[in-house]
Amino acid sequence: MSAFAQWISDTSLSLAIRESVWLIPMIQITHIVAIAMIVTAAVMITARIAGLASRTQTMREIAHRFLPWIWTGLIVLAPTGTVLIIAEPQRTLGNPTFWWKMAMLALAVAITAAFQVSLRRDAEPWEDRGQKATPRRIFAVSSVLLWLGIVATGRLIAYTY
Amino acid sequence: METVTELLSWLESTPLALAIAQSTIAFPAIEILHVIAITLVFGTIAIVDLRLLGLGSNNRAVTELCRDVLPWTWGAYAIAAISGSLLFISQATQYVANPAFRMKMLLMLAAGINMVVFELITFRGVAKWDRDVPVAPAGKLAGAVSLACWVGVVGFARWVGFTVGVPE
Repeated sequence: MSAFAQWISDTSLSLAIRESVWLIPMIQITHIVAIAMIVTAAVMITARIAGLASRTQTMREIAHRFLPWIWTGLIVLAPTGTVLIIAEPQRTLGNPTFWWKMAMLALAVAITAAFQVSLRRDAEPWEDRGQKATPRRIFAVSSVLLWLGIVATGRLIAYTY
Repeated sequence: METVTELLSWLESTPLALAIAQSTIAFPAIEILHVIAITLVFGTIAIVDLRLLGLGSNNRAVTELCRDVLPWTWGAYAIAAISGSLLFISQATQYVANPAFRMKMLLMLAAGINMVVFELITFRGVAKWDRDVPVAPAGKLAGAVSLACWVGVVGFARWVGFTVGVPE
């Protein structure tokens, strides 16, 4: 991995990104705004499941409002994140914190997709009046914890490489 | 200016500030809390701003949406303010001297003034554009100004990290 990281680092593209004073900060800012939208969307969905907000909205209404924020946010995060990796590959590819972040990201994406499919199939178990609260709670808590963990490890990358 | 400099030095010399500056984990730990809080401040304000602009949640009344979302904004804002103050005192002199930090504070002030004007003046007429019709121009303007200010706050906040002596 470190040879691979070194190879990326030596490419002219990587060098060009690093040499620009503005590019990395601007891309990081875009990356942060996108993750802010995702975290907020995840928190609002979780708050609805927990009955802490949007009680007048059905689960489908809330999901319809906020799931696109998560998917759109990811569409922005992927290319901006890739540019940041290309610019400083050692900082990420050789950094265990980065791989923790990627593992949590994979899990977060998987459970969000599962939530969306489950809701599309049958919204009833997701509503408050649905009998079993446990699956709802597990999804709600793990979704928020994973996204917060992704933000935390994202910031920690700067401290651990 | 003399007294400001003295005040900043005094802040840095308080036991709490020294503890944060000297600990290896305190700064990153508080910083992570600060970043999480600001993502929620920004995101929840954006929900309301986008509604004012007619770009999202248009099926919901403005008043209802504000009641639902703004308590989260204020809760997150309190966490951001406390954690931000802790980060600030650890390097007060450097932050105040930093142009990006000053811009961030200026934009937060602008966002605050925009919010007060919206709450005290524009919001009085909310009954006329609460639902089903486009928000009054003053309300749309408040949403646009707020969104621009907060994107700027996030941007300059990130820029502070590149220009003050902390890891990128």
